[in-house]
Formats: sequence, structure tokens, C-alpha cells
Amino acid sequence: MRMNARGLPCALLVSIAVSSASLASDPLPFDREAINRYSVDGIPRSLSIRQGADVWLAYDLERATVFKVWQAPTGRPGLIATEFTVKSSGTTWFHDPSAAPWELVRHGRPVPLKVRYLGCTQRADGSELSWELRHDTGALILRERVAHAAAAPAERSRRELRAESLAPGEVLRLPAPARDAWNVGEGIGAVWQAIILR
Amino acid sequence: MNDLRRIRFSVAFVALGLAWAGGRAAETSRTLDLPANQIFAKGPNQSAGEVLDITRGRGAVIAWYVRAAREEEIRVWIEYSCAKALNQDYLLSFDGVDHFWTVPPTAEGEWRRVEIGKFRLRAGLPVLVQLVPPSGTKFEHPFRFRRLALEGDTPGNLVRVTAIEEPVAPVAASGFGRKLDALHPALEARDLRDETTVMRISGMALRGPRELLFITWEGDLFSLDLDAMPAGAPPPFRRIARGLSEPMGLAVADGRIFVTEKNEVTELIDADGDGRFETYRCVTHDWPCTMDNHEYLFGAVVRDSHLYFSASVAMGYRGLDNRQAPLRGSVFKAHLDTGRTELVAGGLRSPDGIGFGPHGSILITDNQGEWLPANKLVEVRPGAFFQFRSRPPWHPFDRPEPTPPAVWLPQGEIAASPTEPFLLPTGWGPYAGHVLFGDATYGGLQRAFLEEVDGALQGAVFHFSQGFRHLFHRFALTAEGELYAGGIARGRDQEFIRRVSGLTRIRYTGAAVFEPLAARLRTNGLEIEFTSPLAEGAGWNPAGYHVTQWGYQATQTYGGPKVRHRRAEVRSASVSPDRRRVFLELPGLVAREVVHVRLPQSLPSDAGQPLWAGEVWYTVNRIPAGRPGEVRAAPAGATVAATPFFRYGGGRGGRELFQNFCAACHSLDGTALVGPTFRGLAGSNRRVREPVSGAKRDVVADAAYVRESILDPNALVAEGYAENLMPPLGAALGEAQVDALVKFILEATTPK
Repeated sequence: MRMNARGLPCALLVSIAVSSASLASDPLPFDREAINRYSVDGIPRSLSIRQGADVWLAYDLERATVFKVWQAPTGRPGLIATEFTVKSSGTTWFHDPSAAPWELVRHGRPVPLKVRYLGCTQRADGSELSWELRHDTGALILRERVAHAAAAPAERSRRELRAESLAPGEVLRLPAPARDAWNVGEGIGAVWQAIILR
Repeated sequence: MNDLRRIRFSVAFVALGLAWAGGRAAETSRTLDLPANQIFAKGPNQSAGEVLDITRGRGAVIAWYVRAAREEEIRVWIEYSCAKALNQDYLLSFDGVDHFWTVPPTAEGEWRRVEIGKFRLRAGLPVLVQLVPPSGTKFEHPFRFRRLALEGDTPGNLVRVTAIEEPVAPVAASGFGRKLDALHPALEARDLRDETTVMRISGMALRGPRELLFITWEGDLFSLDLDAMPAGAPPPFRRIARGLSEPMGLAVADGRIFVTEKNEVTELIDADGDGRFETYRCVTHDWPCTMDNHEYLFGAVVRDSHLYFSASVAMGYRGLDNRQAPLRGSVFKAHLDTGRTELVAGGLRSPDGIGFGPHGSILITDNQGEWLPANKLVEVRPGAFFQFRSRPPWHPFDRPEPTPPAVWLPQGEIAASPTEPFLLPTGWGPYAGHVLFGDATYGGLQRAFLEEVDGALQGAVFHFSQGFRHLFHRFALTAEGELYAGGIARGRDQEFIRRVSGLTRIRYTGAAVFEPLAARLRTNGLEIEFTSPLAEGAGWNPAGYHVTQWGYQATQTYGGPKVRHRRAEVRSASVSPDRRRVFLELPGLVAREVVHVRLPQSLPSDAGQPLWAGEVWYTVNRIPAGRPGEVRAAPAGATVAATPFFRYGGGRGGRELFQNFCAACHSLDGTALVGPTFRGLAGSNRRVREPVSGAKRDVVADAAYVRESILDPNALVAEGYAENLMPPLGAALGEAQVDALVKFILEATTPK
């Protein structure tokens, strides 16, 4: 339901750098240095999660997908705040500015999905996002996990995905730009499936 | 600026309301001209002879009063030239009926005369006809306007009313024509600000009887144990959650915490009970949003397992094409468990506060601006539409006849940015059942009394208290009746933000205070109840009540003037046997108008107490049938006044206007507020920026500069400040008022 209108003027603002240093000592979840829930890069319903010291993933919550992965400049923040929104800063590794949706295929035929964001949980080792993907006969629950620790040296970024309530004969496919950029392995199913940025 | 304003627009009720003054008869013609050179204010537009070149709507009042001897249908024609298509419609606001007109382009230099609508013109009262350009947009090419023409069927029926004067107001004092300047005598306030922490409080609720929760604009959730507050030290605030996105509402239901964030409603969940909210569950986000920085979700109250909240409109498109995302300005309810979301009402603008009112109602305050000539306190009812319209596609609840507010809150007089309303509990003595609300600009606490008339709420607003350090935004009441009030500041001045944001505890002491308590509309007038009896023999003289009345006509431009502002006839004043109530017989009551009663400071109570405040603004939506007030014969000698009740100082004084319209943002003493200080302004050089070209230059702050800044703040913007930060006041102030305000500002800022 998002309007395609972005980048409105934000007057009176002072840019504030969001440090990408280690997590703050305050033990409360949702430290903005690890998970930033301000709109990022002009996507109103979006958030950003840091992986490792300097890699950030930005999620379009209305599309239930990562739309950008980037590496912060050395020694510089990966998010630049302007009052209550943020912009990514650094080297882009993946960018999906499209409106491409998740695809549910049932016995070879596409089934439209309506996405609803359900929330975010932050635990000691990582964050988990979930969405409802409603279709003509019910709803799937899509879950995504991102470790706070850096991906393995050979992997630039790693996520895990799982879909609950897929019926026999149904296949859930990532949005097309993501399929091209991430190794999906066995496909999205009821068990956690790692997907790795190529 | 602008000799057109010399046409007095405000209306006098000459000779105690027996006739409207002046008027130019159309004689035997069926047609009445409304020419471009006879309007109230051209704003930043240019005129040449009989032609007005309109490039910008904001700040202009292109309007005329007309009157019909008999009701009839009339056709409205316009004579115009517009060589290029506009991206927005003009609005013809005809006695409150909105008609949008898509301007057909003409050939270059061509003048065209077209019919733009048919309307019913009621008989008797002057009716305001307004041609309203798009509010925020500045067009490079002008819409050239020469006249409207009203065409009826009855020769000589239509008259343009011209010689109309604003009623002169009595000299003001604190609480009498001017904002209060002190704490209410029955209140006790303690500033709980932590000097080391800036807390712009945007939501408050109790979790259990003695734990206060509050959220801040910056996105933190704090807890305060009300039983652990040291006497002389800052309270032990404890941050228990963070990372929220511009939360503006907080509610607790059965121990569960719900927050309205910028783009979603969120439940904070601590599933493992370790005291940390590790899950931010999205309850709902079932409405569109954009990146506009003014799209908030305001407030949160829970009823029957549903969270009620409102969505403000965007501001960033006012200078572009004025569109809004669908469903902005709505009230929603969302089921706490399923997230199922329903549309409840629409047509709001900046509804920065929701709360429960009397009779099981839910109330919302809305802030003056486009489609709001004044601030509002509205009752939320399913399907209600409160008139904010942007452009097609219209809100699903949009309809020609909007839902009126329960109480109009006149801009600068009793509100400027009203915030959360809440119902006072039984421990608050005579004020129990009344509604208080704060104000993020005007400050203090204002009080409303609501009554049900023909099934809908309407009522009065009163001064209640100033004298607080913080600009109150959100509130929480303990079971014992202790009020916790959270302050917030907007703008960018950190010193100002730090100073007026924070937490205050307020206690009602029960001290007796003499003041108007309630007002109830009767078929033939208004009954005012006082907190304590009047002195024997007092209150009977109708001359002791300065009563005015006016309407409002909301349009797509920012703010708006009082319509038909006039002195009302007080035919009689009758004091009740217990001397706690006075019935004012008002033969000129008109539905959909505000009645303002000014009491004299000299009105004595039986106990000899002075009157704390002496103003009542009552919103007459419906006049109850069959409920007349009792007109009683005055005791002998009771209507004789030894001294005048009021002194008149030649119109509204500049000091009061400055206090009501300017002081919230501009100091006289150098204090940094939202806008530049006026200290030493008169005659000084000021660095300004021309927003269109960006060119900077110095100007001398003389009367012309001050006047232009009031009427068209975007013409020259003070260096370091943003365009559109200050609203134009030309639509709210009459010519004489602007004169008085300019005079006061220059006198008060002339270096001694």
C-alpha cells in the first residue's frame, strides 16, 4: 500500500552520523547501531540490520525482502541520519529498487500474495523478521533470520529463510532480482534455508 | 500590502443587532458583481486595476459578503483568463458549501466568462463567498481574475455587504481577552524534569497503579516508579526500551504495551520475562504512507480490545500538487490481537491527541491550518468526516456536509496547537467530568465542558491554567487523581527544546476558585454556571456581558477569518435562585456559530473572591428545541451599574495579539524560541533570504517589513529559518488588528 512518493524535504535538520562501532553497552534490544527502524533510502516502511562490523542489510517491509546490502566506508558509519530518517553510505553489494514480489506457484500456476509485516525480534545472536503472505486459500508465514556476527570470510552476507504452511504442490520463490543475486540452495520451505549473497 | 484590506471585512451588528450595516443594493438587477478589486486580502498576489493576478493562494482572502432578502437558487459565474492549465482545482466556498472547479485554460490574453456552479442562498444573514486558490502552490503563470457574478431570479434580491466593522473588544487582562499568566489557584505543580536529559514526551500511560510509562519523540520508552521519587532530586527515570520510530502514542491494556509509531502500530513484547522487550510486533500497518515528515500516527486509547488512533496528513506536498496518500487524516481502530483494522472517521489534519470524553465519547484535537480556520475538539463517531480534503481520490468518508467539531478552539485566543484531551476524574471537585487538553504552542491547560444536544456533543471551552514550565503534549492520571503531564517542543532550537520538554506532576488541591464552570445552550440563549454563587444582586445587568458571535468557513487555504464576527444582543440576564447560574437571553443565536462571552473582572462572588478567568467560547452546532432558559425579573436596582463593566481601548490591542499569535515563537528579550527573537528589531538591519531566488540581502526592519512578514512570511525569510515555518496570519487577523500588531512590535523592540 505504499505510495510511490519519496524524498520530501526535511527542513531544519542536522545530519547525525550513526556509528557502526560495536553494540552499545546498554543491553536493551533495538540499539540503532545494530537495528535501525527509521525509514532508509526513501522507503517509508523499512529498517536496516547490521551484520558484522560494517555490512548493512536494508529491508523493504512491505515487500518482505532485502532491497539493499552495502558495506560502510572504512572507519565511517554505514547509515547517515537526518533527523528521523537514514540513508545508506558505502559500497553497494546488492540493490533491488524494483517492485518485484514474492511468487507463490501452485501446481505450476502463480498465485497472488498480499504481504503483511508482522514484526521483528532481536536476540543475542541475531534478529528475526516475519511476514504474513496471504493468498487465495490462506496464509503463509515467512520468517527471516540474520546473524549479528559477520558472515564467513567467503560469504559477503548470509541470511536464513523459512516459510510455514506451504501446502504440497506449492513453491515459494524469492523476488526475481533476489533470485539472481543470492544463492538460495534447496528453495524456501519449512526448515531454515541459508541464502548467501553471490 | 494592501489597500484592498481597507475594505473592512469584519461585520458589526449595528444597534444591537437590528440590521447589518451598509450594503450596496443591486437595485432591480438579478445579477450581483463581486469584483476582484473589492476583496479582503490579495496576499502575495499582484493587482492592476480591476484585474488580480493570482499566483499563490496562501495568505489571500478573495472573498465577499452577500445578502439575499429572500432565499433563492443562484448561479455563480466567473470572468477569468488562464493561459496554462493548473495542476489543482480552485475552490468556491459558498456559505460553507465546497465546490471544486477545474480551471479550463484560455487562449493567451483571452477573457472567458463561465458558470461554475449553482447554490442556495439563504435569506437574512450575510453569506461569505470565497474564491480559494490552491493553498501552498506558487504558480509561475497567473490565474487572472476579474470578477464573480451571482445571478438569481429575483430582481434586487442580492446585495453585496461592504461597510462592515469588527466589534471592538474590551481592554484585556490575564484570563480576560488574554492568555492566563499564572498557575490555577487550585493546582499544585512540580517540575520533574531531569536537567541532564531531554525528554520530548510523545506518549504516556500507567502500567499498574504506580508505574508511569512514557515514550519520547526520539524513540525511547521510560519507566518511573511513582513511589520512589526523592523529594529534592530528579526522579529515577529508567529506560526500558529504545529504537522506536517517532512514536506519538502509548497505551497499556492488560499489561501489554502498544505504541503508535510513525508508520505502524507496534506491541512491545518481553516473551521471556527478562525485562527486555526483544520483540516489536507489528499490530497493523494497513494504510498507505509516504516519506513525508509530518505523517504521524497520533495518540492511542484502548476500548473493547481495540486500539484507536489517528493519522495526520502530509505537509510536504502543500507547495507542490497538494496530494495526500489515501486515508491520511483518518481515525482507525485495530484489534489488539488480530490486527484487523477498521476505518472509523476521516477528514482530520494534524490530530495530535486522542482521549476519552464524557458520555463514553472519544475525543480528538486537531490543529489549525488548511481546512481548519481554527483548532478543533471533535467527537469521534463512526463515519464522521471533519472536512480536510486534498484532491481526488477523495477520502471514503468525504461528503459535502462535514461533521462539525464539538468545540471550536479559536486560534490564538484559547489554542494554537492543541494536544491530548482527557477526562477529569471525580477527585477533581467541580471539574470532574470536564475535559482538559494541553497545547504545544499556546501552552498551559485549557478546559472544555461538553453537553449532549440532539444526540451529539457540543460545548464550551474556558481558560484554565498557565504557569507551567513545559508545553504539555500527553497525560496520565493515577487512580488517586494525580496528573502527570509530558511536555514536548518542536523546532530545532536545542535550548528551547530542553527547556519546555519534560515531565510535570500536577495535583488538584481542592481550593475554591471563582470562575465560570460550565455553559449550557438553551433554545433562547446561554446559561453560564459558576463555581460559586455570585454576590447578591450581581449578574443581572445585560451590559455586564460582552457577547460576540461568528462562524467559520473552512477552505483549502491555511486558516481563515471569523465569518460574520459581530456583537450579539444580550436581551436579558437572569440569575438563578442559588446565584450559581446566569441565563443570558440571546435572540440572535445562529446554528454553526461560536458564541463568545466576556465577563467583567469586577463580577463579584458571594465570598468576595475575584474572578480567575472570564471568557467562554461556546460552539453552537444545534440549538435545542423546547429547552428555553428562564427569563426572570431582575430585583429592584440590580441592573443599575455605578461604573462601566468594560473599558474599551479602540479595538484589540497589539500586546494581546502579540501574546496570542507571536509570543510562542518570538521572544522580546532575546530568548531563543522556534522563530527569531524580536529584541532590538525595530529599525535594525536583518539578513533575509528570498526563497524563490535564494538571494540574500539586508533589509531594514520597518513597519513595511514587519507587516509583510506577518501577511506573507515566505516573501522574505529570516536567514537561518525555513520557508513555511511560520503561517501567514492575514487570514486570521483583520486590517486594524494587523495595524495594532505592527505598532506594538515596533514599539516593544525599539532600543531604549
